[in-house]
Amino acid sequence: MSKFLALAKRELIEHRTGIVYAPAIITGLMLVVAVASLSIGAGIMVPDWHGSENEYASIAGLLNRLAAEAPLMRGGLVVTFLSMMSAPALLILPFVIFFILLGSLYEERRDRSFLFWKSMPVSDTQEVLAKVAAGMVLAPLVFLVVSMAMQVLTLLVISVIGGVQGGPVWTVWQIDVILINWLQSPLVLMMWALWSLPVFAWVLFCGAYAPRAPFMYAVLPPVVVAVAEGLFLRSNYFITWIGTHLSAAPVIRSIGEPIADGARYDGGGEADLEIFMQEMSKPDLGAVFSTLGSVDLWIGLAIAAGLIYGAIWFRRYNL
Amino acid sequence: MNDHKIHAGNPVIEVTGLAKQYGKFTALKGVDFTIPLGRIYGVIGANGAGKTTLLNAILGLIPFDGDVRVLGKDPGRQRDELMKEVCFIADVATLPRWMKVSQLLDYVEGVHPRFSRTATLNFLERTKIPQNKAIKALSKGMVTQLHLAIVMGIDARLLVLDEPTLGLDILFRKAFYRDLLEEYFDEERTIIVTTHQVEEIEHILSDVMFIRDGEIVLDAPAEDLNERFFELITDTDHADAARALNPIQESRSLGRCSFVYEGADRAALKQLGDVRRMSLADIFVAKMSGDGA
Repeated sequence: MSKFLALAKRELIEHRTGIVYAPAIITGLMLVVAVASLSIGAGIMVPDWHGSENEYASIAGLLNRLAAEAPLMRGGLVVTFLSMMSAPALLILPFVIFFILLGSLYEERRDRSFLFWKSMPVSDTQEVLAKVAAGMVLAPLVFLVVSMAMQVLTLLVISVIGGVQGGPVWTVWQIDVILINWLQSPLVLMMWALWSLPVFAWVLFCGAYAPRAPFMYAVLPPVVVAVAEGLFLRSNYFITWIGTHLSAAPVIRSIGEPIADGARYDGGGEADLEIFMQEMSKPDLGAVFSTLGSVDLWIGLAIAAGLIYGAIWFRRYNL
Repeated sequence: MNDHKIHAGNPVIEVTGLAKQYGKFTALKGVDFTIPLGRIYGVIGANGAGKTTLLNAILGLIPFDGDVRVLGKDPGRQRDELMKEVCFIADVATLPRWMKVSQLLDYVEGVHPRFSRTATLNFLERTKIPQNKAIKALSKGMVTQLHLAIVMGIDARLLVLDEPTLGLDILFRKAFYRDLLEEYFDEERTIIVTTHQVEEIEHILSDVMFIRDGEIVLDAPAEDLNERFFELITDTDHADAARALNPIQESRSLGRCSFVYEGADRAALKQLGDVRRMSLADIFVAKMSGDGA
């Protein structure tokens, strides 16, 4: 246990720029933008959710408007707003993971520190799995914690300004909906990690193998395969497969379908928007796991296992 | 605590038929040797002779042919187990540059069951190494000192040092080996060390191993070397007689002749001229460059 914690702490220190600073800076910027726009004068430009035209409203006005909505609608609106605040940080997460897994086994060889790590009673298997966990578990979890903290701060700022303006502050504190959303996010990210694992395991493998320029080793072969497939077979299965796994499209589809169905309204049908917001406020936690039986997922995981095994082999003998 | 009890004099390392091939290049040609507990072994050889390959095999860092037992364990299969009782410094300044000193100590404390932070701190206190600084801010000599401090804190049976002081200034090098001998070494431990600065470690070695072209050409206790190798200084008149006693090296300067003998009769040599003891470096040069080896 202490060994596990020591390894996790080391990964956190080594990759603190990507794992901690990057999400903190991006969500911090989002917060600053939000606070700034809320503080400039008394008003903020918000798209009115009942129509297509924009209107100016004070925070208090916004809160009053929210208070007038049905409870489910309120929850959906708040969670949608908070999710949009968190989105930019989560969008850079794949890039952060890419560079963690590409660099960790390459850099320790380049700076010779692997000779020190190997003098400790930690096996190559444990070391490599620690790197995988750093990218696929630690980084997403820190991103989530940072974005949760940012969401709470955002609500606090809105409450303070809205309260000063005399609005109904309680309306933004949709605790139950926010908590369900916080519960769902790590589950979605873990499923995404499983789907995208073969792609990132490839990156890890390249970092463990590449004698130099690991980025080229990781990126060039897939590009060559994709281009060759397009040229000679006139198909794009390979790149589609990578895209499907990297975006965890099946997971998004399974949780997004009910929401998308609701959102398919034309000409401002408010009943459909109602359904969309209801779905946003009551995410189906079971739907997150509905792709666990997918053969494609397990083929990907088998490929990932092979690549991780290869990375362990190179970690062991690639001096 | 350990299933494999090791006492002074018992073998720490048993090697039979250790061979290593890199493509067409044979780095080790099936060497055999045994290293007991409580010794300081100097492994000496020219660049590319196979020293590092030998040490890497003992440490389980490379695949190899033959049988190697370290503390009763197979380093190829049980490296992580073995590293609880084996320490090594395999190059200069291999500590992670992006870590702070205190963070590094936290890490070792977390993963190493036989690490005592107190022992390491005791040693560190006498150095100028700041604990809240990143390792990249330390000088190369300080990083080596820090590495030694960590080794001091680990209760290991075997310490392997492969050129641990290369490129450091002489003050650091001297201090490094002095601390190693005075504060680390005891009869419950064995140290194996390779270095190019033979003369600096000569006085601390209990045993010497010469490697040439993947073979062990000498494996003897240091005190035996004085009985085994002599240098005879004589004039040209006695040169033929001296040559008849099979020297392993012959040289000539300013009208004086110098002959180096291995295992010759000291009394017989004395009649031909001045017989001198040799430094380890001179023995090494004679053994490696002479055709007698």
